[in-house]
Amino acid sequence: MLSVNGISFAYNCKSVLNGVRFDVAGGELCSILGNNGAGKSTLLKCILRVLQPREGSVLIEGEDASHMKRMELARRMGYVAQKESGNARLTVFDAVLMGRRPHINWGVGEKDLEVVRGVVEALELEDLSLRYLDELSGGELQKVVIARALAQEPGVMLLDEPTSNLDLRNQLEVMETVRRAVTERGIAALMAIHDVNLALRFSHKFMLLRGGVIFACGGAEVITSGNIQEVYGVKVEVETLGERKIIIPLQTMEAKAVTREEQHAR
Amino acid sequence: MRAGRRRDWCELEVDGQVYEAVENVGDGYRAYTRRKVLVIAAVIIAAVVLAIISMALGSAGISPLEVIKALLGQADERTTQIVINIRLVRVLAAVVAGIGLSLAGCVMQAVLLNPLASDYTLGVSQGAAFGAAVAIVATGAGSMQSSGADAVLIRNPYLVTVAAFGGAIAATLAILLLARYKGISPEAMILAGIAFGSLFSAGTVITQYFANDVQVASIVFWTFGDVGRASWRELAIMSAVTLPVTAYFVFNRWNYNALESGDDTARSLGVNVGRTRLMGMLLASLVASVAVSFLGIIAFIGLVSPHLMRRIIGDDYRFLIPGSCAMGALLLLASDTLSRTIIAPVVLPVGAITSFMGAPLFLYLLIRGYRRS
Repeated sequence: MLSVNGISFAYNCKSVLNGVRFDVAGGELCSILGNNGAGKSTLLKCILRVLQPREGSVLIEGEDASHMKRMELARRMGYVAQKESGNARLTVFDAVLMGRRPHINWGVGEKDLEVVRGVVEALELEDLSLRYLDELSGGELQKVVIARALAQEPGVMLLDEPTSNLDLRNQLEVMETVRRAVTERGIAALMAIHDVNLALRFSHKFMLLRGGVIFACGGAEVITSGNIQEVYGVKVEVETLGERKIIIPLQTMEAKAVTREEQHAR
Repeated sequence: MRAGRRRDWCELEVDGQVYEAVENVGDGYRAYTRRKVLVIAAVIIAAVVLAIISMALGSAGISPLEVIKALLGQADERTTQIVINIRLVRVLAAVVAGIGLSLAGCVMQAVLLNPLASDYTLGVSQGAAFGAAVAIVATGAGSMQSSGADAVLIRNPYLVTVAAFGGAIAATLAILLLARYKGISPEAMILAGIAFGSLFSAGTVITQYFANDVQVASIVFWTFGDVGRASWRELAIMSAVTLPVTAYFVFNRWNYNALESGDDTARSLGVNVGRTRLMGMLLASLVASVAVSFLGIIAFIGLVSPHLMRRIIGDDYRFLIPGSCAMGALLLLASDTLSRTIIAPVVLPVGAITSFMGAPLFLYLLIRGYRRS
């Protein structure tokens, strides 16, 4: 379980995040939605402790993450970057094994191999396990990165636009993988994502971020045409197809100027 | 999503009989890592064999068997004298310097995420050459001697070594300070290294311009790397630096692997990225500086031996670090053996031989591409 308590962050004097506060429960996938520059990646980096928030704290299972050693943090939180370089001559198995690093003192033990084997099987990467990373397709590589994060056996997982470089089929495959892993393993997952429909389909919870503040947060009920227009500055139609909500973008609006003014006012 | 996943993915059914290819993923992986260990072991064995052959080669006419006897203290006094006091020092110096230079290149490539990184491309060697040149000219060192491996005897070799070391460390610190206080990227660090290297080379040229004939000859001969310069004392100092640093690098092998995935991902895996990069650069430069200061410039080992091993066993630093050590020792030993024997009794500069041997081998591997295991 992940609790973020009023995080604020500024690059020099420019405020990027302001009093962001939310919880993600175990087994819950929460999508962060918002335009470029809304603070999605910055928020993830503050939680990951790559960036130091000016104020506020991050609690992982009730413990303050800022007091943890980096290795301790790595045992509790996994991270899936937008794009892995993937040009190293490492096998898939080696790459997933790296997720065990926070648990390994010196040598690779039986348990580490067991965990890696389990993750590799769960993500159906067996046939690729001895392939080199630079021989994989984008979708395969992204699954390997997710597998590595899962091998950390984390309680919290952060994903930074995991589908942005993938084709339609791979987007679905990767999201299915993430969703299944999150629910089966009871992980609290927080994901920055651009594709609202993909988020709608796979997430339990949504956080709409605008100008570094939470505009709305909750279940699928917060995804309304009004909210989307406010946050993205795009006029949209919300339709339902079967049981599924679908967002259809219509046209852009003059909403960005408002956001900037608000930012200045802060 | 694949429908109907086969759990028995590794089983193959032919004519009603089930063949088990690999029992499970872990076993396949174990076989794969075993191959890497075997490759490294083969390189080490080759280095040991070559060391014994190298100690046997020369005008004294000693057989490899006698070398082994001498090492075990069972040969006659003359043979023992030659093997232990002359040839063993030289061989060990080649091994230690080979390990040091190769390891330095390997770790610089890891922390800077750049295949071009080595002591030579980062200006460490040029810094050492400049330091040596200044010391030779400033102290009036250098006097001609007509025979011997080095045609030049430097009057105050310790001062020259210290100055060379100072130059090498100055080059390193310049880059590290830029990285620390200006926050330049790993890519920019390589470019800065090339810039500092050129600066030091220019400094050496200017120094030579104002030097007399003997001093110029001394400077030029100093820059020809030669493992024969080391005595037991120098060897001890080189080892005292190289061994602990090697241990440190082995200890950090997971961190170098994690850096391959990018800084943020490495941090998420528990790596202190800044410290790993700073310490890696500092210690790699230190090891290379020590080797270069005592032996002169030995180009290409730091670049070529890690890459040879990358081509054979991949980029996993758990194996690449010991592999690079073994390959560096083997390459420098082979180069030195060749430089002593190819047109004996003339001893060619080993630095030139390393490039002569390493470059074609390297080009061949580049063209051939990676080998699938």
